[in-house]
Amino acid sequence: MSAGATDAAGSAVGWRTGEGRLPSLRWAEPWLLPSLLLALWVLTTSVLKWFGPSQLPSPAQVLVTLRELVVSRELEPHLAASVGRIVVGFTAGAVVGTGLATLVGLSGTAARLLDPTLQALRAIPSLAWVPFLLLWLGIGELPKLVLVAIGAFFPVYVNGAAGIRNVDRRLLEVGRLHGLGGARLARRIVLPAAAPALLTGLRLGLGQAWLFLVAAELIAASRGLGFLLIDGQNSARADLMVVSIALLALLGKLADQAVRGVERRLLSWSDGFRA
Amino acid sequence: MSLSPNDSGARAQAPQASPWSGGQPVRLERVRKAYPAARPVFGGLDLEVQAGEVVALLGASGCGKSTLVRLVAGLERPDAGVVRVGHRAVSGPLDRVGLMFQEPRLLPWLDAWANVAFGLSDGVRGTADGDRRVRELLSAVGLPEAGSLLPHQLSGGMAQRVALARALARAPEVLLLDEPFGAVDALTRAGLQNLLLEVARRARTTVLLVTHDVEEALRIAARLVVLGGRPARVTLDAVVPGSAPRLPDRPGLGQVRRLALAALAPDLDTEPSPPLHGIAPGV
Repeated sequence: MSAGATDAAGSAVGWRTGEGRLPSLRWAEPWLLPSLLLALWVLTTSVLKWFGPSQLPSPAQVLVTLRELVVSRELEPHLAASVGRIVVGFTAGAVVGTGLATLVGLSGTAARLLDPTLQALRAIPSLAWVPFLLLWLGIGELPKLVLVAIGAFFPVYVNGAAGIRNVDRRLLEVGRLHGLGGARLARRIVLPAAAPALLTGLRLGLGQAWLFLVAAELIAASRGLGFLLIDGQNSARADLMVVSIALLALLGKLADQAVRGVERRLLSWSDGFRA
Repeated sequence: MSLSPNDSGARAQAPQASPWSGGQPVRLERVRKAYPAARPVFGGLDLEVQAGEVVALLGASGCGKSTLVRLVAGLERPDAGVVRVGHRAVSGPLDRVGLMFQEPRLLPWLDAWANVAFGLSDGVRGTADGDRRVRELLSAVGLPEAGSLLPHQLSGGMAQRVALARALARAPEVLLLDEPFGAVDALTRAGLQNLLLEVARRARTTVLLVTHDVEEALRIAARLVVLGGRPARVTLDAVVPGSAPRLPDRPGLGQVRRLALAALAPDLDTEPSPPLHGIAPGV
């Protein structure tokens, strides 16, 4: 190879490794839109004062209100109530959803018996359940837990059943070849193979559990973030409303991140799943 | 990490004989099998494989080779007739009948080690004996360091070697292989063929090898069976002379090769044709 060619190759390598290029700003991209919205919020409230405090409080006012709620320990029972309802309701819905998904995914008879009815029930909007649940279960904790469980149930069931139904038939054959059947086939082949779909269902179910939680707390509760929202509306305190909405968004996001973390751990084997 | 076993290496590391028992004969008696809306695959097929025999099963694609293997494995039931392994009539998968599929079919959520251990019997898995056996098998297929790799991290050939180790894990009395080495490079293929022969000889395992490769059959099988027609019947059943593994130019193979090629493609003249002259390129 001539000296000239070597030089050309050398400079090409230097160029490719990105010498003299700007450092990557990719990490900042997800924060761009929230930052803009926050700036817009500050601009329209504190600076231009297009909105009064009773319409849309400024970020500073919201932080003051949040601090008051925390210091006076007023926030605690609301947070505890909402989080507790999510934990109990989501767990119940997810367990029942996974169980029925396994049954319907594995057994054609169970699918024909149950699936059409469950798909019809899925179409009922969350708020439509509330009056009946209050009528049947009274006004205590139970109707709220049941509503949250219903919210969690359907995504878990729908995704799980589809995932289990679509488990690679060739892997099932490997299981049968090694003498597995029934519950052992389900545990050692079906559930691991359907884990990606099941976890997607759990994540969507958790998201929907929060939606149904707010529906329950808006209508019939004396505690919880949904109640705080309604309380803010009734007492014309927009700052309270914004605080409760922001907390709902934050908690929902945190819960989602937690499930994503579990997903990353459990699905590290998957070729398509890259952390 | 050495991932390319040569013949002698694979042979030296073959698993110890302790847990192995003798092979079982396989017998198909007047087996009928048909799938809906298609001409029957088998209309009363008889075939017998002796205990410890290594038989290659050849035939055009779609002739029923894979169906035959799946019947013996207990993954499918015959419409009529009986499939026997030893004295037992096959009605479902048997513990000591191993099957290696055309593709590796490893469980993607288990690493190579756990995939091989999946092949062990329930009582052995997780014991010191089982662990030693998995280690021996991974070495035997030339992957002693690959135990912690996940299937998607393995090349096609490596995955197929793990699949062979899994099929050998419960010391099968009958080992069925459905075109197992098609995706493996030539050198690895020779190593795996030798390993297979070594294991079969040591344990007197009965081996039924489906292949479309006459040369593979001539290299390792003691007997060569060609299926043809629809419903399929045995169109050639020939003993391959000499002990395996054989070199392709070994004297005496020519006759069997000609018979096999003639049975596989009866319309073709298997004599060497004169070179084709006078055909314009592109026509």
